[in-house]
Amino acid sequence: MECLLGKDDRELAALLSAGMAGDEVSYAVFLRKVAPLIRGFVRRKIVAGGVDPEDVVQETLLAIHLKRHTWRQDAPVGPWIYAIAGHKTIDAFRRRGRRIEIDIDAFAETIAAPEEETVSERDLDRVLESLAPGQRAVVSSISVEGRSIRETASALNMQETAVRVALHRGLAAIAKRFGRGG
Amino acid sequence: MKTDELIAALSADTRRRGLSLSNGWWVAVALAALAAALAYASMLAPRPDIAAVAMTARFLFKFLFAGALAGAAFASSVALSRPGVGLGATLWLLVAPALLAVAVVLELVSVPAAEWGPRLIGRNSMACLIFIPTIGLVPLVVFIAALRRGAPSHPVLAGGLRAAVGRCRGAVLCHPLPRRLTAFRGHLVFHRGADPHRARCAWRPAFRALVSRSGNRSCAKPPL
Repeated sequence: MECLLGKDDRELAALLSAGMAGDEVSYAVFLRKVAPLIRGFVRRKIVAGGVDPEDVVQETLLAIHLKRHTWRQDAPVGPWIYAIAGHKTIDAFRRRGRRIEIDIDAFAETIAAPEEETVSERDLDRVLESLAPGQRAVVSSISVEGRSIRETASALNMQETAVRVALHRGLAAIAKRFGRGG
Repeated sequence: MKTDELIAALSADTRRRGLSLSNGWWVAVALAALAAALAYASMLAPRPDIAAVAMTARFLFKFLFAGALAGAAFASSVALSRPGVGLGATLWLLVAPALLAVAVVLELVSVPAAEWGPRLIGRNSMACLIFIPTIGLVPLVVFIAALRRGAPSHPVLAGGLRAAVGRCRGAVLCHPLPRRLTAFRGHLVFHRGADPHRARCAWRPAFRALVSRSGNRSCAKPPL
């Protein structure tokens, strides 16, 4: 099978495998390395206005996270990531009522330089607002305020297990509602 | 929320969930087989002369043909549910039509010319066109659900193949050999594409994807 990212692919695959085995640090490194690649891919695909590439990047990261058990650990990770990013790009255009033709086979042109995030109002924030208060507090505490699970548990006066459950359910709910304006 | 903040939340969420892709496929096979067997048992019964015909070549060929089609369609769609995999596995799909072509030639040789027309249409073709899709309906839903868990880069083609697997289960239970031609045409009419990750190309006939290979492109927004 074609290995799109060459050596990088093996490195990313190793990081994701470690992440799936429970290594949070490797998993965070994996996501930080993947995000700019997705951003490069999505920006290349979105030439017309109306769709914020960063929303698609975030939606793709959520999908990768919630579907990571479906990645086959013996397969390259690049094609899997770009297939998800391609589908999420199509979704974003479809929600805005545009026609778009994306050849998600055309990976070759997507091995572009990683790109930095630009800041604007995110779809994600609108979805976050629609979560149940408990889940929203947990997700914001860990993401925006940068607390760990344990710090969040003591700050919100919850069990650590309950924090983990609320985080997981909150992220799943965000992924489900993404792009529907909450 | 910035993307880095999202990543912080994602990496803190270490709860595992769900089946792996390959285990999911085997669960789907088991569920689909069970559903097809239940549908068959609730609507039809084995033919009364089954003991007499069980070892005849025509009867056994049904299983050979449907098995070849189902096996090839299953292997292909498992391959297609993963991105970046070539279409090599789909070549196995040619085996079943080739078997059918050989069988048709043998029939033409062994059956008098006057019988060709009636045998081509058969006695049960209407029933087959009703029961085969009905028996295959739940397996089709099961396999599309399994496919939605993957990330195919040829979504429409992949959806059509799933339909082929579902239909084969029904096909094996019905009608003698020459009538299969009619039934097979029925399969193609019923097949539709489906693609996962919400990029739905609803109801594009899979047959078109098979001939035009347009399955690797997204399609227009479906009419609401």
